[in-house]
Amino acid sequence: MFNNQYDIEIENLWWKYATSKDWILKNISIKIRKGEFLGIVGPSGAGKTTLCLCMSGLIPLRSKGLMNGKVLIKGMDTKSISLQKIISKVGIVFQDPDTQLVTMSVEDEIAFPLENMGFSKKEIKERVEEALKIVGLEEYREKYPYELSGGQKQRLAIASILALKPEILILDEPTSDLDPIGKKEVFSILSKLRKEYNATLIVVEHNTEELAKYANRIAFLYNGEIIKLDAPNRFFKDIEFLKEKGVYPPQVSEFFYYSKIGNNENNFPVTIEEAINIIKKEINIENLKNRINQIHNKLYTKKNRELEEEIINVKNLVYEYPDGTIALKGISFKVHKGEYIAIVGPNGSGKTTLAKILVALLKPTNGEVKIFGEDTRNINVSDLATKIGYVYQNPDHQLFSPTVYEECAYGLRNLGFNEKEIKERIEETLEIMGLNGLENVEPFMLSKGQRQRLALAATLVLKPEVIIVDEPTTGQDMKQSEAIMELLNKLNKDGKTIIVITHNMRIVAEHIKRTIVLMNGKIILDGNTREVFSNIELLEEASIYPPQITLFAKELINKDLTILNTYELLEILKLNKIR
Amino acid sequence: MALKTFLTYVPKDSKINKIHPVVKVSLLLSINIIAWLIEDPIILFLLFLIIIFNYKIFRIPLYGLKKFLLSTIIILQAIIVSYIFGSKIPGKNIYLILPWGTYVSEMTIIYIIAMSFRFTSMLLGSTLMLGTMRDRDIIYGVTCLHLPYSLAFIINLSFRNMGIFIEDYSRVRDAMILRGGKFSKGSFLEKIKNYIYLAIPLAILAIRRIIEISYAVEAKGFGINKKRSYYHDYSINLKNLILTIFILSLIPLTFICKIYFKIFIFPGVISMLIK
Amino acid sequence: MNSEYKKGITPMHLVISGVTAGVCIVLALFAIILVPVPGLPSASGFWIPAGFYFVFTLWFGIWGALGGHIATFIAMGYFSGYTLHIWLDGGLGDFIAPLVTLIIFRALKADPELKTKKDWITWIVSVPISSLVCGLWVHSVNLAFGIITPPFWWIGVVTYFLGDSAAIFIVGTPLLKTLSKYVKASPVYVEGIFS
Repeated sequence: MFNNQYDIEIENLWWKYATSKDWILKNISIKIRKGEFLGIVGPSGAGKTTLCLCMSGLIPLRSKGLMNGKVLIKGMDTKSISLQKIISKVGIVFQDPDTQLVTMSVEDEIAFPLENMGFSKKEIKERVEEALKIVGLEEYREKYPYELSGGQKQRLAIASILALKPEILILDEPTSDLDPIGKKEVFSILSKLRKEYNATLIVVEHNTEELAKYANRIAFLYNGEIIKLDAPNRFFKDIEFLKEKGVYPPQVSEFFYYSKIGNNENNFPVTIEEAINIIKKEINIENLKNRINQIHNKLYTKKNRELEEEIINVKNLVYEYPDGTIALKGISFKVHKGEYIAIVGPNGSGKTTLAKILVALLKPTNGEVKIFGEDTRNINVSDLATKIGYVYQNPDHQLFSPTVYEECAYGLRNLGFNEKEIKERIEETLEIMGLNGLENVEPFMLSKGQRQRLALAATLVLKPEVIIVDEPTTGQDMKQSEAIMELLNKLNKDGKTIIVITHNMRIVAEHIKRTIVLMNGKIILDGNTREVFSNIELLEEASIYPPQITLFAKELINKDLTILNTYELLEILKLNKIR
Repeated sequence: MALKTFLTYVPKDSKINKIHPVVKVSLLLSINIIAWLIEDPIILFLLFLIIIFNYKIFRIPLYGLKKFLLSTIIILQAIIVSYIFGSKIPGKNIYLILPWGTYVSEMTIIYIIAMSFRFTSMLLGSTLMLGTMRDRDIIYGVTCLHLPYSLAFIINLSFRNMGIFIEDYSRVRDAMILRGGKFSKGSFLEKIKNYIYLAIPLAILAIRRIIEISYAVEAKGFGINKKRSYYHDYSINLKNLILTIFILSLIPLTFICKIYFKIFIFPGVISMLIK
Repeated sequence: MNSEYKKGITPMHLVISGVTAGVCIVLALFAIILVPVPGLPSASGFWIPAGFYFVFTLWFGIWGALGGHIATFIAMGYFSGYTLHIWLDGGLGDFIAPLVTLIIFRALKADPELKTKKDWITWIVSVPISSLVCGLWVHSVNLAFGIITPPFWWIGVVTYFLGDSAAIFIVGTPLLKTLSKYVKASPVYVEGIFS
């Protein structure tokens, strides 16, 4: 009997793919109400995407495998109805917008599912207009999808599904591949869908701070099972448990957990607004003013370690691509040995171009770049292999050998190392990266986290003095992100110069000492991370949003106060880590 | 102001933009088949001139054809070499007899000229039609012809994936270079080995993309209904239909003229001139 | 229950053709520029895409071959114009050739993973047969269009036979050996010819 208060009912669901040995989903039971916003979190490999595919009907209707239990969508069992019936009720948006856009123009993309379902021309026209309006892409209707930015592409992917007017919308990590502007755009659409259309939304995200703002409930999927399901205010109470299982809680929740402020049994804050309301009742900020100033001054005047020799010198660097795009418009900065630098900025600001110039893949159009005293115009890329390593965001672009061992040996052989030294270096590096024992495994058979570590290992084995890492934590769960950052921290302590390109301001604030902000090909800020995060207005222009705890502290205490992590705020407010 | 098309730039106000994609496709087919059927060098030359003239009428810049220059030279060279060294076309004057029995006469030279005009007509005619369409017009054209939508979909996807693949290729290649891989220097074997290494991640990325795209299009109902509807108007009006039929009927007409009335065969008009 | 996933031709097969075509177009353009053959228009002395679309055909059936066909036509046409000759010549030739290998593999129930002696022999024998068929087709079309004369027909056939076989063995063999296991475990593998 269909209970019409629930849009999706999952009962004792077990699923494994035809090619997997173990069950991917184990005894999942959950009911999702009409109009609910359900967030799903969990570490990589937990089964989140598989669960989304089950809720959309693509499993079992389009996947080979074994299913026990049932999934009811509006009372219809996905095992016994057609995909056609399900599609009109449920839409699904995936992580990578490029794989979802298959036509030649924005409006054709929105029309595509309607044409597939046989709607009349009149109806298609009306729905295309409506969908364009909802996502704010009216002025782009004739453009090729590939001409859009990441955020626009994902909005288009959402519009394409919305055209079918599904009552339920599933989004699987919709913002993982996007920059901060893109993320904001997507969440703004979701908020609109919720308020104006009362859509049932199911969103898989690593970004718990956004989820916490909107979700009615959050489900924690771990190793194929739902191990926690609750409203955000109760869900994020058990911080240690969440962190141990690989989920980033919102920083304000983390702060409240460690501070044990007030009676937060049923009213645990997950947003800045909630946190401000609670804390102001419990603490008199005025009384702490002197202490705050004292500690803040101490933080600001903390002595930086003395700079060592200069290894990178960029002077008035200009880079123009063959199509006329000027990616870098006269930037200058220096890097000293042992520095730990973050390069941040919206997509299109020139970060990747800069990284490619530093490793001599691209040569400057104008200006000068010197690496260890040599002009990059006169250096071959391969000659820099033992001096600068560059690790991309997507490990699949960097793994090309038949085995893990061969992957690590590739660079060493090219550089003429003997087999004995190659073996020693590889053993040492694989041990550090937690990949020992996997020497004979094919790289593409590893999990995503392992592939990421292997990509890093293949560069580290060359023992470069400078390591440039592009988006090391994108799409990673907390545990993996922390592990990578711990490794980079250790490498920096051992004297390596680390340059991290990232959109993740939390890891910048918590780990990285110096930040360079790029916008439209120019450096707008360059300095100590704390000083950079003090410039809120300028950062907003560059669509950079400091971590939640930084914004919380500014609002709570003083807008001139720049806190970088939860523990600093605890110290400042005399709320030392109690648990 | 110019419109960027598949192969070149076309003035926005050029009349060629007004020609319906179905008419363009039928012209493309007709030019190719008719050029293939005709052997008379004078007729082929006239066909060539008509096509060049149309470039002027439609204001298509001839510099857009420069990318075909090398290929055209190679084709012409292939024709010349083939017929000089490997043909026996009887004529009044034999200029060269080769040890293996083939020879060169004045008719050999005329035939070479005829074949050259044949190919340049096909090339220029195809480019005039297909090369002045945008990639989305090609898709519309295929759909207008009421060919299965799956064909348009495949072509669409191939255009989309070209760009993605080039990006993947650049990244993987850069990653190898960053670890000392050599693509321009080094021995031939080293280069081949590197290209083979490159092939593996590219194939994997392509396979993963296939799975993701498949899920995405299935989630949008692709392939669910046997009969799909269309957002754009792909109908052909009577004028274009008549024009298409007329253009396509030139093919059997040419065939009949050649086979039954012996027009358009070699050496054709030339033989009268030579007499 | 075992999932009642849709059997027969599905959108996934069309996606296979589109994606493989996109890959092979780029490789073909690259091959034509990198190793041109003097005297043979839009040809390459080392036809790299053949290594890919032969393997794609063994993995994905006719859909891989269709990708190769579209790719060859678009790439060759980019340099030589999109003429009927180019479509019949390289385009169709590069559709027929990998299908010959596919039919031989499926008929003999050989495994693209190249595990046993039988698999290897099937691969080593079917590739030259396919290259020969391709060469015969292409140069017969060239002959019919008047580009070449009968004495040059043989030269063209032998060039294709050798050039294609070399590229397929050099590029295709490592792809088959390394990735067939992975592809067979994925949902994209096509066991038959169509599905």
